[in-house]
Amino acid sequence: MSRSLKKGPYIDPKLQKRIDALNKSNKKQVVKTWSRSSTIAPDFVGHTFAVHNGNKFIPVYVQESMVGHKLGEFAPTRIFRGHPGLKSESAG
Amino acid sequence: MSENQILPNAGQLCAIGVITKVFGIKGEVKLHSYARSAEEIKAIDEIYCGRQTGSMRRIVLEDVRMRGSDVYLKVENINDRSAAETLIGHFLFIDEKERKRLPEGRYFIDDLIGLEVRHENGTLLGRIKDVLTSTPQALLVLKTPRGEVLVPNVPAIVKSVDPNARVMTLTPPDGLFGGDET
Repeated sequence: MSRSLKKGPYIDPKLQKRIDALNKSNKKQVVKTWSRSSTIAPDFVGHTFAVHNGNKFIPVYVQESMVGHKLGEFAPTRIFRGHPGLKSESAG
Repeated sequence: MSENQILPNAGQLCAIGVITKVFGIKGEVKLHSYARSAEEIKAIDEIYCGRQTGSMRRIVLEDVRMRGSDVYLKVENINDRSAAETLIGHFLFIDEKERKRLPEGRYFIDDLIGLEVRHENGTLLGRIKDVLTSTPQALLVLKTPRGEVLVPNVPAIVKSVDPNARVMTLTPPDGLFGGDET
C-alpha cells in the first residue's frame, strides 16, 4: 500500500534543513545521512549524499532521474561480488 | 578443436563469455556472453577456449545463434552431448586487438584500474583500485593515503579521463575525501 498523498513524501526534516542551507549558500558538500527512507526531492539534485548502508557510507550523486526514489535504494546493504571468472568485456 | 598452434600470451586475451550448459544432443552449448550478440561473435576470426588463459585452445565455431537473450554455439568436432559437456565452465577468449571499440567517453573497466586520480587543481588524490558496478551508480574505488575512498562515476564529478596518460581528473565535492579538497 502506497503512502497517503495527503501526507506528501517523507523527507527527514534534519536532512531537508541541511539541503536548504546548502542550496541557500550555493555550496556543494557531501551530506552524511543515515536516513535511507528519505525520498529524493527535486532540490536534492546535484548534491552528493553519503548514505549509510549499515556498514559504511556510500556516496550517491543525485541526478534528476532519481527524484521520487528513496536514498536507500542507491546504497545497497549487500554486495554482489559476481561469479568467479576472469577479465570480462563489461564497459565502465 | 585444433591444437599445436601459436597462441597469444595470456595477457593479450580477453574473456567474452563462459559456457554454462549443453543444449540438445548434437553438441550445442549455451554461452553466457558478457557483452556480445551472436552476430558479433560470428564476426570474430580467432576464438580460444579454456578454463583459464594458460590452458586454452583455438576453436572453430560452426554455428552461433541467439535464442531469446541466450547465445548457443556449435563448436567444430563437438558432435554429441557428452563431448559438449566437457566444455562446461570453459571461457571463450579473444585477442585484445579484436575487442569492441567503445564510443568516446566510455572505457573498459580494466583500462581504468591503476589510473592516477588528480583534482582539477592538480593535487594527486590517489589511484583507481577497482570499479564497483553492482551498485545502482557505478563507484570508483580509490586507494588514497587516507585509505579507500568511493567516488560516484558521474560526469559532474569525473571531469576527464586520459587512458594514454593514465590520468583521471575529478572535481569532488567538499568532504568526499574526508576533508576540504578545494
